[in-house]
Amino acid sequence: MDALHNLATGFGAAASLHNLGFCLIGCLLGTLIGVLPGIGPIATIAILLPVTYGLDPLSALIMLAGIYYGAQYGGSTTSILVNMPGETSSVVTCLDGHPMARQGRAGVALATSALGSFFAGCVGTIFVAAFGPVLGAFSQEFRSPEYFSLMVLGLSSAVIMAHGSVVKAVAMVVLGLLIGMVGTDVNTSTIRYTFGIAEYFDRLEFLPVVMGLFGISEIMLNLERPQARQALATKIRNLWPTREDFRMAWPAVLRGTGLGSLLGILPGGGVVLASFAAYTLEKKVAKNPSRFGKGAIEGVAGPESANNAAAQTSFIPLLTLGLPSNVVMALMMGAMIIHGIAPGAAVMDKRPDLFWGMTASMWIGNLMLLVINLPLIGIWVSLLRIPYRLLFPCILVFCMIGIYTVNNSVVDLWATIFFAALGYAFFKFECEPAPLVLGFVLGPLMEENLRRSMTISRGDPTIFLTRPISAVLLAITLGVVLLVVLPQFRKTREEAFVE
Amino acid sequence: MLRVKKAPDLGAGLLFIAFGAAGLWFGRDYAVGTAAHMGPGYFPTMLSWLLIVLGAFVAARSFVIEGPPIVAVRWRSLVAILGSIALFSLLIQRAGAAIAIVIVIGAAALATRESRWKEVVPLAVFMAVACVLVFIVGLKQPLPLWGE
Repeated sequence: MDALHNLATGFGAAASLHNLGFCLIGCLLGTLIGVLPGIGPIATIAILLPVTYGLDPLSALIMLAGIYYGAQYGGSTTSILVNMPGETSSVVTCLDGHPMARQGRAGVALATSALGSFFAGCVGTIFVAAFGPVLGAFSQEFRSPEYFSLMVLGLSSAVIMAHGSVVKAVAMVVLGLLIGMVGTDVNTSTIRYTFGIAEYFDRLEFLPVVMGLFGISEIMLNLERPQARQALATKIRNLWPTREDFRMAWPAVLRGTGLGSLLGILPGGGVVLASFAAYTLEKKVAKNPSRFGKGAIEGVAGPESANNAAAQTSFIPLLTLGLPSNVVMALMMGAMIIHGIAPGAAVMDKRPDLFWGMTASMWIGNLMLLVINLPLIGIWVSLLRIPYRLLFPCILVFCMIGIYTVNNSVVDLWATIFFAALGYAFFKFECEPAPLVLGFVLGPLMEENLRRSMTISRGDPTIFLTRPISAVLLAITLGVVLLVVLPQFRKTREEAFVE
Repeated sequence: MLRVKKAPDLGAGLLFIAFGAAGLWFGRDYAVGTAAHMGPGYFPTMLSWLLIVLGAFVAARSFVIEGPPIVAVRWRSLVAILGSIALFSLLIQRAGAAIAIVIVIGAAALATRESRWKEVVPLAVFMAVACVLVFIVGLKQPLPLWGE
């Protein structure tokens, strides 16, 4: 078995003491920021990006990946215990996790979530190992027209996965693509939209855009909301679920894992959508849906498994096609580029230790989280007693240091102010910034591939329809778009987001 | 009579139109070229026009569909937070990381009425020391400790 042999190589690389250490650091940091509201994996990975310059690429990626899936664990802990989701992906866990805690079953809810997440993480890892090479080999057939169509598909799904108005999400993607044009046009060396700022002659730095739109504007918005804090519901007693709990939770874990693995691969999908969809699914298949919201164990098991599975599988498009499926993956892409690795199928051929090492580290990391998380719950909960008024200045300082140290440039800080103000405005205007970021990241790639395709076809746009793979990708895009237009689906989409 | 029924959409639409117009204006000198030989202006021009059309649609729609009003802007946190970043950018090279962090924490604390000076001062000193130890001593990031 080739895959097994490869996985063995990966475990060899990931299990070195050095890399285990970074995996542990990543998981702990991830859990920490998962517990703390107001700072998420996006900001943390962004802050630590410059720090990883000195590391070897595998260790850097292992640590950053650990932060990502560690955050899912941390977020659910606070959802269950204090009804306060540390991350958006664990919002639904509050619905049934916290009622369980109030019934004195906090330990059971935490154990269910940890075990479900671990199971989902394992399946997700196998998924990556099994599908990665297949997709990678498939993508060898891809030329410019296929890549262009793939990006069209990716961005279209990102639009559909976004909250709220579809038209506004489309506009956000287009705006992102346009902002992505800042810098030198590679074909003609024309410098575009830089306003004479020499730092951006290459291209607009990624970090100020993301930190401004997400990290900083998030702080300003948090300060506007009243700070509701609830005391810890109960002491954690019996951790172990009963036989009855197991019987009810297992099918939910399986369903959540399957759904999460699929939704994670979808561009624009990812952990938030996975957990919401899983909760809706559990409610649909339950014999007695009225139990939900009152401490149904399936309502914890399903979404928790789903978000962890999705966290793993969202690496697939990045590692095989070089396309980030969400903002965190765009950051991981940035990390790979910093280390001189072009994300895509070539990674698997040229640096198999990197691809497989990272895949293996995810499994190891999930095991670590399972072991370290339950004993450390007391510490995580005590962290929640830190009021936000003391937390936000610290988060702000970390963000600024992170942005400044990328290039030691003050210009990046000014760009951050611009994008923070923009992000704040977008929130007030009910526009979600995630599609913009994906557009921004894909902008230059998309232009490049469009140009090359049109040069090949001598200006004939039908090239995207006459090449079979490209045509299929566009057909899927059309199907996806039709789904939105059709009233039936539109209704379920709205329902899903309302919950 | 025309009446704005969904203010956030009007704001969003105008913002999109503004960006599209800026894209066209600042990109007016970039050669557009032909479809087979796209110049540096081709893709940006296409995107700008698309953005203007979408923006116009969103803005026009705000007169038709009902929606909630724009949530009030709280200038205090907006100015304090963005101002802190500006302060940091002015201070980091002139005064160095230690002083910049202390001042920035003080400025950021103004973002909310809940801040207490008794807490903010120790926090600022603690963060300055912690960041210097972690980022400069530990991680050897090229931050200036003291100014020039």
